[in-house]
Amino acid sequence: MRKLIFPLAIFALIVVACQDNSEEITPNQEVATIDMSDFYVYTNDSDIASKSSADAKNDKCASMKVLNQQLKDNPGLENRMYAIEKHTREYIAAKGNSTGKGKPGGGGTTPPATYDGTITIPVYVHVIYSNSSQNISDAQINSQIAVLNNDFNDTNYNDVPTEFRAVGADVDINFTLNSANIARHSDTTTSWGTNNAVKSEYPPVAGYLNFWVCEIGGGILGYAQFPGGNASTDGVVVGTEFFGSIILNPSGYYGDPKSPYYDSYNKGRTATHEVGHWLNLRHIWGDGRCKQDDFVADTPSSDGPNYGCPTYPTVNCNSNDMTQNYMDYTDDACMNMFTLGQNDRMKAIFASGGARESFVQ
Amino acid sequence: MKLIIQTIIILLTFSNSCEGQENKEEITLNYTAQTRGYIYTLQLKNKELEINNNQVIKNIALTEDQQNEVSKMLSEIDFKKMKSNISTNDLAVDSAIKGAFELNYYNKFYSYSFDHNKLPNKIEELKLKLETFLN
Repeated sequence: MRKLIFPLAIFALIVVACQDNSEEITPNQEVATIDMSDFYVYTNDSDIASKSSADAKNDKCASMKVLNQQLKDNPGLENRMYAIEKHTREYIAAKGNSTGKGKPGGGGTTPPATYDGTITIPVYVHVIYSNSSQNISDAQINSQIAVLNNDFNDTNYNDVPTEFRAVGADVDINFTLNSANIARHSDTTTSWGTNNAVKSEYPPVAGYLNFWVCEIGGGILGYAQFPGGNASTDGVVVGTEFFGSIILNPSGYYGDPKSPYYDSYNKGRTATHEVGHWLNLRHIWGDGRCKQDDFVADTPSSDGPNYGCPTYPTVNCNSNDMTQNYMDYTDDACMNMFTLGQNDRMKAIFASGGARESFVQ
Repeated sequence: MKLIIQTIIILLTFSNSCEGQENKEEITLNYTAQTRGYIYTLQLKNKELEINNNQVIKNIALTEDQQNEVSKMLSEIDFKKMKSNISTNDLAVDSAIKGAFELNYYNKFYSYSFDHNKLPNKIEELKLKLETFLN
């Protein structure tokens, strides 16, 4: 028996050494009334980590922590994102429901005061074009605002599978656009990328949800910024041909009809999806495998995005995917709902102390 | 002595469990980058090459010279130092496309997650070279 102790001790040492040495971000831990244990800014998901048989130590033992450029440039962002998430969970816990993450603990802080009325968000649109067809019409821009207002005020859930109808949410957010708040800029740049260059060139206007409508390139339809980021880059960028709805404005510019995805993304849901991020929603699959969460209790776990128009049911992680959710990657025509839990997350940032409280003050 | 042997056996067993998959193929490369509205796949199995660039699919059987060229390029890449460079936070707000890179190269398996629009230079060069074979 004693002969086994030494090798077993070595084995145990190896196992311990190969445990995930994660660098979970838990700043300001002095008040532990809300469970934040699953919050992540970085990932240690094996799906992201590099692996090679020639580098087995890194393969199994080291967590790949990749800082994105924004975090590098802005070290305080990590703390702000944590604070916003904690605030969100306090808000949801105070509501006393189970649709979002927000487990109450003993004692603690005063919950954020809710804002119960309809929320109105003024919009500012920057149209940046390198040719005349990209200088989209006011009608096309207004069709996008109409889609946003429809999607964030949805009360009909008959268009989603029965099992999801009970969690369908009327988010009750209105988006308003004054025609004076459409700025048009001719620019020789034909592809802006995702490094916020377009925002540097045409800065956001404070007090608005800013949209930049331009050619992004690189296969990107649109990108957003979570609450808590730098004000100079706050807003949503959408590729020109994906802004607006061909249903509401058939004569608009939606790119080359021969392009493979022409019919998939010309109904305005790219903006709906990106505004979801701007309002603190994560992708419904949590950007990881089954264990990675979107911090919303009433959305099923999934191990990746869905594309196209999936046939119901699509089963992953032992449950049916909610492929109809705006925060999945399905086609515009096949997205139909936010959930109550997502609604809570969005509303939390408008509560007292919330990252976008200024819109309701 | 028995202790040493037992220890070595355990170490070797564990070490093997950390090894990646092995493949008898000399070169098998699978690369997939996909997001909403975009897909790019590259599959190379020895001389058979197929690239799907946003639903434009091309394939070819590489000549021996082309195979040698690919092999030379791969041999010049230090995969031990290669790192995944995708940012989860960029993926979370749709500002990046994850490119899943898997290579079986002479019985060694390598797997990385790259930012498709910011591929490491050597990988970008390899991708561009393979694309030229299809033109």
